[in-house]
Amino acid sequence: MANRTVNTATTIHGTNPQNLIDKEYRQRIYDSLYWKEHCFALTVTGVMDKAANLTCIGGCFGDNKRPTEFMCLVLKLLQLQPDRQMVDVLIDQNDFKYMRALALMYFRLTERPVDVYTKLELLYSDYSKLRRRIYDGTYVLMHMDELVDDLLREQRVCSIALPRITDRRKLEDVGELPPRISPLDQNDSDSDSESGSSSGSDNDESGS
Amino acid sequence: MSRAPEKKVSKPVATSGVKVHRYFPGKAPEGHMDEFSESESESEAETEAKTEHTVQLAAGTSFRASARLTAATEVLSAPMRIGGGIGNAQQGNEGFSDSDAESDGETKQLMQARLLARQRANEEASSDSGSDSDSGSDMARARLRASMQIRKPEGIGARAGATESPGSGSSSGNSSGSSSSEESGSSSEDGGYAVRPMLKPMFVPKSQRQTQQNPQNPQQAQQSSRAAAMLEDENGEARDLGAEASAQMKEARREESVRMAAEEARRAREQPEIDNDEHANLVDDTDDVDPEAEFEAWKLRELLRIKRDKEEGEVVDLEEQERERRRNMSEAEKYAEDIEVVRKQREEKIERARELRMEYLEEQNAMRLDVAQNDTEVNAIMSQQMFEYAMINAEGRRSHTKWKGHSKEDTSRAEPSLWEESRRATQRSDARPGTSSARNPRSGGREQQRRSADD
Repeated sequence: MANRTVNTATTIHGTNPQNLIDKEYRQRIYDSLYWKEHCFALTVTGVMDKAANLTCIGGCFGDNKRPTEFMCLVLKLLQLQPDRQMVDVLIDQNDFKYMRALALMYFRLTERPVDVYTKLELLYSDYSKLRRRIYDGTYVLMHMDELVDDLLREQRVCSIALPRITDRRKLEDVGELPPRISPLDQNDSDSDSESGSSSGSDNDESGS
Repeated sequence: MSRAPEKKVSKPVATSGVKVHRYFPGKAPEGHMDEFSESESESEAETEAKTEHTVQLAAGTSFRASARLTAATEVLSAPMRIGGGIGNAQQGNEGFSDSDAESDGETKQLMQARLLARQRANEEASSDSGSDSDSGSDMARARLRASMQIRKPEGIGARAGATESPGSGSSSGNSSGSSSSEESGSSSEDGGYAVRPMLKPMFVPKSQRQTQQNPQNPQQAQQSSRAAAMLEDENGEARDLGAEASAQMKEARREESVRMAAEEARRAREQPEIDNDEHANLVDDTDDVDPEAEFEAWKLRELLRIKRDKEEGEVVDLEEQERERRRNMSEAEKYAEDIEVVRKQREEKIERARELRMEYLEEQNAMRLDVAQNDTEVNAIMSQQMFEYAMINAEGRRSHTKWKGHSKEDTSRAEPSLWEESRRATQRSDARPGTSSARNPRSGGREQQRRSADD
């Protein structure tokens, strides 16, 4: 009863949104203490509160394949299926980076390829640090832009198999996406046109 | 068979007449409705105030988020009811009794009382620096929640907006102060998996125990003794509890829980929980420790990504070009090209094999044993022995064997063997009495006979 997707949910990629996480890992989440204690009967606001308390991202780790709190909250969001606006709010806020990471993961799992590329590539310029818990339970430092890179290119991130999105090149060929202009490229082109060394202020503007 | 079996009347026992309340699933416990009926002694004013309060709560608790912000303010604004209730109980006046409809209100009041107690406990400790940082993140959360709820569909949004605005509209210091204490209160409850260090239970002898009979807190003694007195008659038997007495006990327990909540909050503030997650703390994820270095690192990563993307693009482009070119060629040209490619591959393979063979031979050459050419004596002995060995172990012609005969195979004559010694010893002892070798010249005859037979 507690593990049903919300009644108003639509199918994502043709299935129940919860099925985006493999059966094995999903079961580990259902059995975990954090899920039972903290994720019961949570609303999106509740998820937000929990996400503000997150300290790391990661998938299942250890011999037991214990899920991280991050992963539990991903599944919770999949159960609740918040609408696009809410997810946008969670991504656009600047205060809580793990909340942002959570929303990014959800976005990547549920949205169409064009939207995924458009939204996630904006975050290539966010270089805040994240703690990641790897398979053996230890922590590793990574950055938000690396996470975005993984989400766009890898097949599995945080023990979750990401649904396939079409190659960016193919989308460019078809014309749905413009070729990617990195903020550094922009900077270079600006400085070339100005025929002077790029000032520090320019760098900060593009980097923030 | 015709007669119905007689019903046996059981003997009256000490416990007969006691009502045993068994549990049956799906059935409400007996007496649930009876005990909690409204007592007639309640004044009208009390009932009015009570219903007012519950109405307020009903509106406030529609959303957890808004409830958290508004309930706190309501507690502060309406302390009279709760404080009065507790005060009444302490003075031994009638407490309130539950009714079905109001049991929810009761629990809510209790929770609010506990919350209030916690707040007061925290305010007593009053650390301002802590609350500032808490309030900072809380303001952020409040802002987020506000933005989330504004975007909700309008039917719900209107209500949320209505309840949200008084909560946020009230003085920011108030809400931040209350929510910061909530913050600490809630964080002590569900702060991840941080486990408070448990105290080892130590045995305390009876004389040194501080029980409810001789407590530190005299208030506690009062209540507990009252509770004990209520439970037992003068004779020490269990008394049948009336509605009033049980309500009083409930009240006592309630006070206890409120007091404990205050204690807990005080303890949490004074002895913060040990964060056991040292591994996590090794990896520091605070931003802006060194802004320029971080920015440079990001720049490097970004450049590498750009480079990687460009290279991948180039590979794809080359493939594309190749395909284009081939599409424009005729069959014959394609065939010629393919033959060329295969021929080149074969040549390369052969060349490679030759190189490997040369390497192998060089290695073999280097590994040949160096014979000492100068030492002739050693050479002579060595060659003699090698000759003999070769003679013995040479590969024979057909039907030739290495077997040279029994006498040649006898290795016992080559040198005195241990077996020979022992055989001689046994011969002497086995000999007929009186035929020792000293007296009898015949005793060594066996050997002679044997010798002759061999030859």
